[in-house]
Amino acid sequence: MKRLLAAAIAAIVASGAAAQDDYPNRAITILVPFAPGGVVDLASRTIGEGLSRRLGQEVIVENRAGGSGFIAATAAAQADPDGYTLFMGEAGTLTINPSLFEDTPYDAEADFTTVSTITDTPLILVANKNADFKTFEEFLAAARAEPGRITYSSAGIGTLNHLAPEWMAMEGDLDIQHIPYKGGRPAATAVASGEVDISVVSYSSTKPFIDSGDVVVLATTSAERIDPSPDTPTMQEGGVPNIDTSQWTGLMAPAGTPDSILDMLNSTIAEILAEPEVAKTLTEAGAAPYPSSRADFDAMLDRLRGQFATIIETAGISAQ
Amino acid sequence: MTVVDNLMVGLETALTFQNLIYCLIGVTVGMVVGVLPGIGHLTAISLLLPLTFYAPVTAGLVMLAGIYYGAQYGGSIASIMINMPGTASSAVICLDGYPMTRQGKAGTALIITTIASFVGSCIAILLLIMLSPPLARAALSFHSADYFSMMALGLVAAGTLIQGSKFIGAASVAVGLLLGIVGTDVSSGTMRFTFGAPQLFDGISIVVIAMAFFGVTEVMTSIGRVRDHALNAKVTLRSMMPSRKDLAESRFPILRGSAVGSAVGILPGAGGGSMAAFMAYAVEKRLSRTPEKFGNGAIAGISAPEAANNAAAQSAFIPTLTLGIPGDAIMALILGALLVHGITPGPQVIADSPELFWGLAVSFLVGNFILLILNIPLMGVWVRLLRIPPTYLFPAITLFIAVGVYSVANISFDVFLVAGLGLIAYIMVAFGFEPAPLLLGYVLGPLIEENFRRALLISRGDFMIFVERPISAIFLVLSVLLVIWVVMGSRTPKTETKET
Repeated sequence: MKRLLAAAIAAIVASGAAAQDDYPNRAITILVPFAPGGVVDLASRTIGEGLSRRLGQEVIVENRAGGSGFIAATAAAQADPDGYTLFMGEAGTLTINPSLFEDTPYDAEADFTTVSTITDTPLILVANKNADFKTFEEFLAAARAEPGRITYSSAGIGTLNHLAPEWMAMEGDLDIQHIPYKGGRPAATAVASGEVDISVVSYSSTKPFIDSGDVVVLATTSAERIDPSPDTPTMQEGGVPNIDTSQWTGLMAPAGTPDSILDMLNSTIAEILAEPEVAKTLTEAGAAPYPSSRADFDAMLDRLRGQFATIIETAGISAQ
Repeated sequence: MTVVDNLMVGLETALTFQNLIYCLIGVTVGMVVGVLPGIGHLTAISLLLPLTFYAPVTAGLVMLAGIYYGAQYGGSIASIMINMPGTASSAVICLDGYPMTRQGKAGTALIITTIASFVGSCIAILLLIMLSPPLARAALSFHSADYFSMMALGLVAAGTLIQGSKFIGAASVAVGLLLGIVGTDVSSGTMRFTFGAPQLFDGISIVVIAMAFFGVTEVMTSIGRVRDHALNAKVTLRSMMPSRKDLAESRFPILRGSAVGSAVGILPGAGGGSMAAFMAYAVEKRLSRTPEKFGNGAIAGISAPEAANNAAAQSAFIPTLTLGIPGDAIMALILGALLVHGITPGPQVIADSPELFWGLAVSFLVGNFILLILNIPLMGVWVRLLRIPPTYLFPAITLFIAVGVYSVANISFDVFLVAGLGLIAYIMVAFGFEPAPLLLGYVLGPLIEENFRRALLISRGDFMIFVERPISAIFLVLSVLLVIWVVMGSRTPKTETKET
């Protein structure tokens, strides 16, 4: 009996080691917390296709939408840490949910380990064309002159385009009024129609309204000026310190996944993101390829988690 | 861009091989489910909705739309042949269609309804092409208050124009509202009736509701339904040749029916085809010099309502695609399909995705041509479809329901939800609840609440915002007028009873 047990353990250990050596020897699944369509899904499919091409194994992209990403994230957190289940995270599931919800069924920090960031979509502050300010400085002056007058639209409570303006309000000592919408498109249309004064939206989704002149671009929330609109100043340049956020996606693995697998995936992803075809597909959807080291990704997650916790607490936001 | 440029974009899109195939599949499926009493187009669209998630958005919508208007063609066949409407909107065709069959004029009735369907559809499609772009441009300046008032008019219309018991209609809408409330509240972030289950954070999916209330329920009620009308008439090509007199007698009813249908279809919440068909029938009867013929095989009694329900099926796309407000349950499903593809329905759709909008519009024309061509030589085949034994049909549909629901989000929770809700739905429908107003309440309820609260948030609690904005004020006045008209109408005795 003892011998049998020892043999069994030896076999398991050996198969574990073997699995690591010849990884991947079967299909890999990427769990996606959103429905098909949209940047997170596109990032997953593009990177999945690239991994499949380079690793010679099928990569299945599985959309398990809903529940603020709880469903997909929980399934990924509970999966075996063997590299065969991965999770496409973004700001909401990895950095906002822990502070937004009193209780989440997964631990964004302890249950996951980083693989690589994948895409980056810059966010910009836009104003309706009839607003009485045309630049970021004028906006700040107007907001300070009449606290509470200026309204901004968001894609919903606790979304990035709710928290980014709150962050700006906190750092810039402003009082602006939140008007939630259901999704990014109606939020962008609201600022174009003049129902609200301003909004922080992705550059790509607002481009039609920028081109038609219905909205004016005031600033970007990134730390540096952005490629699609190099003349737009950053909020930091405009005198509101620390603001540095964008809509990013990043691949995660369940905590405990061997480092050798994670490092291999990280370098393969960097190669995939460097392919011109891949870059073209992503850029057309408004997302820039965004390779990073695992250490940089870890540091970014730490910084954003702390930052969003402060914003959510200061602004008194909750989703219960 | 001019209309011609736009139509060229539409032609290029609609005539790709892929879109043509999807269009053909759509209209054929539509014909089949239209012909078969027991499964309606709502069931078919709910069933095929998940399938479209794996197709490009335009192709998917071309197919779903094809099912819708295809079923309007098919629906009248069962009405004419066995006095059992294939779809709700062709119920009125039974009144004069079946008498024509008993007089040996089934062939004539079938060809006249096919022609009426085609003309009605084409007129409404032209309206869609002309009216949508300016409407969408105007709608870009709509605010939450305007949307609220517009949808309030829709709900009032749905509530007052409903056939049958007003109480049950209102109760059905109310249950729909309650189902729609489940999920995260947009204005406050509060979770409502989610019981801590993340699967319910985003509310109950429209696919789940549609499958439960239209799929499961239809199958269960159809099993218990007795088919007492034997199918005995044979339809030959020769019997379908309409006489000159038949054509002359249906020319103006078809045009009037198209006008009534187009107008009713645009009104959000008016329930689409069946409302339009009944109104067109009433108009013809009122205008006719021989009203006593109605009910005994009057040709105007089939041509006008048939043109009307097809026109309404097409013009219902106008508010759906330009404002993002669904006119009826089907349009709500079409909106659901758009949302799944990452397209938020609204005035920006035409500008953002011209190939989608114009491709769809042109595909409607293509689809109607296919239906016309499909129908004349194949009428005998459609009629024979009425003989498929339900023993094979219903288990297959039940399986499709389970697979379809699971494939939306890959969550087995949804399958159990459909099973549970389906059982409740069956009991409700057995007691006379109306699933269509329920679905409308489910879709419009949360939208109305969201826009109402947002309008007040922006006005800082001032209710005057609803009358100060001219667009909003117009819709509120229309709602009030509609209520007054219905109340006055029910007080004065009906003209028909006076004449007899």
